[in-house]
Amino acid sequence: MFDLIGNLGLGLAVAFSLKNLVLCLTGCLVGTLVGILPGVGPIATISMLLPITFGLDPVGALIMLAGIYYGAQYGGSTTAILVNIPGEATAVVTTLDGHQMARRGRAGIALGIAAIGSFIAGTFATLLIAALAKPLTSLALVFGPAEYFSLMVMGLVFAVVLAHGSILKAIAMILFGILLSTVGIDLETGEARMTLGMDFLADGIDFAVLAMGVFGVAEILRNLDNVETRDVVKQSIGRLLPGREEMRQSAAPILRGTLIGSILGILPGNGAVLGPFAAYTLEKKIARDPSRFGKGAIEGVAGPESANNAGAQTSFIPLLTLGIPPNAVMALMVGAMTIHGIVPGPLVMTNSPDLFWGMIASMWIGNLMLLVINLPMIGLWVKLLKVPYQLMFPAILMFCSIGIFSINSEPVQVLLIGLFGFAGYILAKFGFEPAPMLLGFVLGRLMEENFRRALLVSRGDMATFVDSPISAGLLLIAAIMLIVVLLPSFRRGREDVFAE
Amino acid sequence: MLNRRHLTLLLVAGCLAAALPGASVGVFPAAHAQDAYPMRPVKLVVPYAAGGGTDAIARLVASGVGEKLGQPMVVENNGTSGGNVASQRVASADPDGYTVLMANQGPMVVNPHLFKSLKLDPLTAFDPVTLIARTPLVVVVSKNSKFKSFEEIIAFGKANPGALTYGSAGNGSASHLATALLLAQAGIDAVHVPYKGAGPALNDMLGGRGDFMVTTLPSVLGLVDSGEMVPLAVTTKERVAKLPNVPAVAERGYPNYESAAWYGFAVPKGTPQPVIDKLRSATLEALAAPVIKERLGAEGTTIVGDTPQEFAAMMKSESARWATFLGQAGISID
Repeated sequence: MFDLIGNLGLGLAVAFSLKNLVLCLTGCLVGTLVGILPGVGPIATISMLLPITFGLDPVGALIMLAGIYYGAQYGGSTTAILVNIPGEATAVVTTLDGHQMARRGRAGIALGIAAIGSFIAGTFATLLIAALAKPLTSLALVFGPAEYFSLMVMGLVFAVVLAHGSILKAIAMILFGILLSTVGIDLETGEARMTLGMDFLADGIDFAVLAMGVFGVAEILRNLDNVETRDVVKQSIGRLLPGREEMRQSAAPILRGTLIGSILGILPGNGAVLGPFAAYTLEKKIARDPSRFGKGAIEGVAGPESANNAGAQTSFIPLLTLGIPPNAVMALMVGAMTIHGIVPGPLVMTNSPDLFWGMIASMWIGNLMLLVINLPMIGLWVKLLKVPYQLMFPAILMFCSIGIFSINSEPVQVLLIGLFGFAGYILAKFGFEPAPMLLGFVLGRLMEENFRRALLVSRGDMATFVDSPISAGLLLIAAIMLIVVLLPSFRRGREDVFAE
Repeated sequence: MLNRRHLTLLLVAGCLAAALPGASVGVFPAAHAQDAYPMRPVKLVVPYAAGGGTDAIARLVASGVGEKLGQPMVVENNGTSGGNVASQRVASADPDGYTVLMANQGPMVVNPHLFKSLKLDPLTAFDPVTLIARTPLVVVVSKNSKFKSFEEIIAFGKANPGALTYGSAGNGSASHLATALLLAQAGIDAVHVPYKGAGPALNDMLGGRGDFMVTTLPSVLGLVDSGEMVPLAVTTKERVAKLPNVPAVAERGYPNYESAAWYGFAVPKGTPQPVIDKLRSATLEALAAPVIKERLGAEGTTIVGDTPQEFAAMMKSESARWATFLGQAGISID
């Protein structure tokens, strides 16, 4: 315990130097501003801004990059809430209730609760990393391909179980998403699958392209053919910040989201993507009136946003303790460390304690700064919603195109968002919602890769999925959920994760 | 009034400047372009996504080269289809020295024999500038592994065909090919589990779900230093300075075995010689800077810096070697 306080003290001393505070602030600010562009998620933001950290010392550079990361994450949520475009997988659920809140004149409250929830989650996750980073590392190592596959199965079953309206349509969309995720060169055999001989499909479909198409562009098409819903905000904009009542409603969801997100964030292979989905599912499941969800329920923003930020934070654990990046953003951090002459690995903690603890302390400071930067900015963002739609939609389209082009400098990708937008529009007309498809798309790829890896390791023995207690447990939960949905008495209580 | 006078003055000055021979750069750019190179930022295309080992080296070197050139060297990543999109793009760019490829074994000497659909011949499509650095790969096992030496794992593999499992950074990656070459020379049949990048593969090796892995030294050095992973052999002909007690595969019964990751600069075919020379000398100067030496050295990468002829000859022999091996092993990608 003394160690912890001493270490955090060292970290705070490093992070609170004027220079590092300025770097942290700059990172958060720049990250937020770039991250707010539709389609520009944390990965694109960090790789774009990586060079500006070159002139700095390693501690300063990593503190700034971490700031950019949180800033971009928060900026992405802002876009999800304001214009219904998720910049990355974790923001998909935020669109569901966050954008509905915006449509009902509560954009400020949604943005406010996202910021406050993120801050609370960030504080908890920082303490968790400081106190338990070492022991938690073993959790990351226990999770192999078999466990990971079972976790993904559970994630998909949750989605099916909780989908309402037409459960069949939800399943169809999930399967369609999984199918889309298989496009590209087969990881194992090198065989091209469903690429139609086109080079740009060799690496599969980019999440941002798909999400921007079926959410952003499709939404614009929908709005354009319906004059009444054309302006994003139908009602007058109410209060800008959450009041006491909203805080009371959100307190428990924030805590639950924080816990779920923290645990999933530690897992290797981007477990953090499940966090917001799981938090949303849980909130809806235990809500007294689940029908409010999808219509602007504040719990549907508070829970997932907290889970998102907690996961973003705890995904630093494998990086800091093993030097192994659990996702693409962390891979960029590894690259940054290398560029600054630090060999990422278990020894960073002992060899450069100032870097290690300084970074952890700066995480918390970064979260605090985000709160300070963003609460006053909410008024500005909300004003954006008052811009007439005929000015707004060309701007959204333009920013989407710029964002997509910046990822790979690939003009075809820009055309693809148009194609997916059209497809999303048609599907929506027939009552198929895009969210289950995106969940299927994200989980499908992870599911297939881990399924095949598990079978390679076990030499084709299916028993590998039940031999491991963790994997067996996850599959059991998935099976119970399936049985529940098949029992007619439960079917009446079925609710909707994805309705918009 | 003032404005108009300013404008007139500017116009006159502009005409004069254009008429003066010394200031003719703007008017006749072609004539003096080579002397003036670089007049604008130089683009360095990295055929991998941001954040990997190649990217880190590229960015480090680019910042130094930019300083020496007096114009920034801007890194652009495109990892699509094994780096082939990036190499094709650079090959078809204007040969003016403003588009440079981070050339390494994947796109330059392996992919032409690996990707059935690739039309590009990198040996003729580019003018090599210089080899920048070499990184050894290293055979590693987890600290809990029952294998304590290179000989033990080879003996076990030979006695138990199909029993060993190895992870790799991806199908066709340097990590995969170095392992496949080793297994072929030793006559071992083992199961390949490809991951997306070295990180997730190492995670599973640490968790005991694979027996061994051959991976670039920088990707595993942190884990080796802390004792989580144990290096059994290095893939270069000689031992490496970072791991003086670890034998080379070549000294343990496979004298012909060699596999290293390397990085260089190449420009589109037809780039004027003065431009290549200038780029090369700026690169060599940058590589001599202590900060680059120190940082690359810290992760176990060796700085090279050779002539275009040496670099070309090296790529030619590497290309021939991989063509033979990949053909025999039957490894290919659509």
